[in-house]
Amino acid sequence: MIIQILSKVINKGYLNKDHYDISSPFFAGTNVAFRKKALVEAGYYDNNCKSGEDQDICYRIAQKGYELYFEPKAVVFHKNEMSFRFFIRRWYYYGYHHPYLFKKHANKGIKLYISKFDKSKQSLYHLVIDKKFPLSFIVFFTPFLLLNILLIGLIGLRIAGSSITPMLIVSSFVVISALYCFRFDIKRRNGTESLIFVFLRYTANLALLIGGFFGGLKQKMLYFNGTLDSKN
Amino acid sequence: MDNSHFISVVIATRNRAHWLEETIKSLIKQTRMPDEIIVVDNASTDGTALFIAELQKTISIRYLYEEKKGIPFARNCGVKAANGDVLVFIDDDAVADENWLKNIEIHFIRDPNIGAVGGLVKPYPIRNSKIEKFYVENMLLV
Repeated sequence: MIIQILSKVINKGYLNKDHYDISSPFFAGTNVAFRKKALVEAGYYDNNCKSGEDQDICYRIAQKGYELYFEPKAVVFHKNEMSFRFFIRRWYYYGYHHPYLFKKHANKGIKLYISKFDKSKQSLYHLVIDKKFPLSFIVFFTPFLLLNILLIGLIGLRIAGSSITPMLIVSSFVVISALYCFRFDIKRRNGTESLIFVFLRYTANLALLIGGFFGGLKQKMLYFNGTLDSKN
Repeated sequence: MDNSHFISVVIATRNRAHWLEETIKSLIKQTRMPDEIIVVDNASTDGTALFIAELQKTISIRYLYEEKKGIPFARNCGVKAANGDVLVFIDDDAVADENWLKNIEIHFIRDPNIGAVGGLVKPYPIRNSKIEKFYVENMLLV
């Protein structure tokens, strides 16, 4: 089953397929080579994949029993269009099209994923609940999602005209979860860069989450996407 | 164990004629030359066809046109037309290191069970924007 949007492949060698129970390793489409036989057996690229087609094809090739090998000495330099508008659109796009892949490779049901503290493993999440159900309700419970739930709660309290004490309590949780979400950005030596990175991470994650939500609705799922919580 | 392969490099492109030249030039400077270069024009409107025709005067390129928009359509078009038993993909906004194909081919020769080889994607050093830095640190594959 494929769940991760980003590849976490870093070490030279074979990708050990058996170790990936909930996420599947893959290579970026701009630097990948296939044995033609494997590509044909796996059934070519999926024309319905608007994004994540590289993830999908690597998964299907591995399912056919072929090995995937990462060679960091085979280098490609990639140009990026780096306007802010493009940046937001790209993350929204990733988010929006991910539920299609999820639906393609996972069973219907209620699934709850929690992000791992130990990010050294290839998979970023634990699968905590996996119940069969006629509707799909998928939640990646990340610190970023928690932060936003708390923020919404805080606004809700304000609108409801709550007294100061509950608002202070929720605010302190907002601060704690924000510090956790952006810990690597805050730790940077350069203050301006810290601020810019916090801003970029927040907007990229929000775009992923909102994109994933609408993409999920299109696939008839209630879908809360995984986000970028820390350095890989 | 087979000793060499027929390598087809497939570039799917749409409206990036201004970047394509550098991509293609990086392919003809390889220490292990590609056996064919296929450019799949994915419904470009920026004169990509003319641009490739110009390049074809000096470089051997197979030009294909795929009218259905989308990366999978374009790549599949390239896959179906390719003569190679190893198909290597690079995008129109990327440039290959000179030992790229050599380092990929080694593994296909070495182990017949390998179905796919992936390489490292590094940022192209154009400028040092914060957004770019954010990408590099958060996506190992930019």
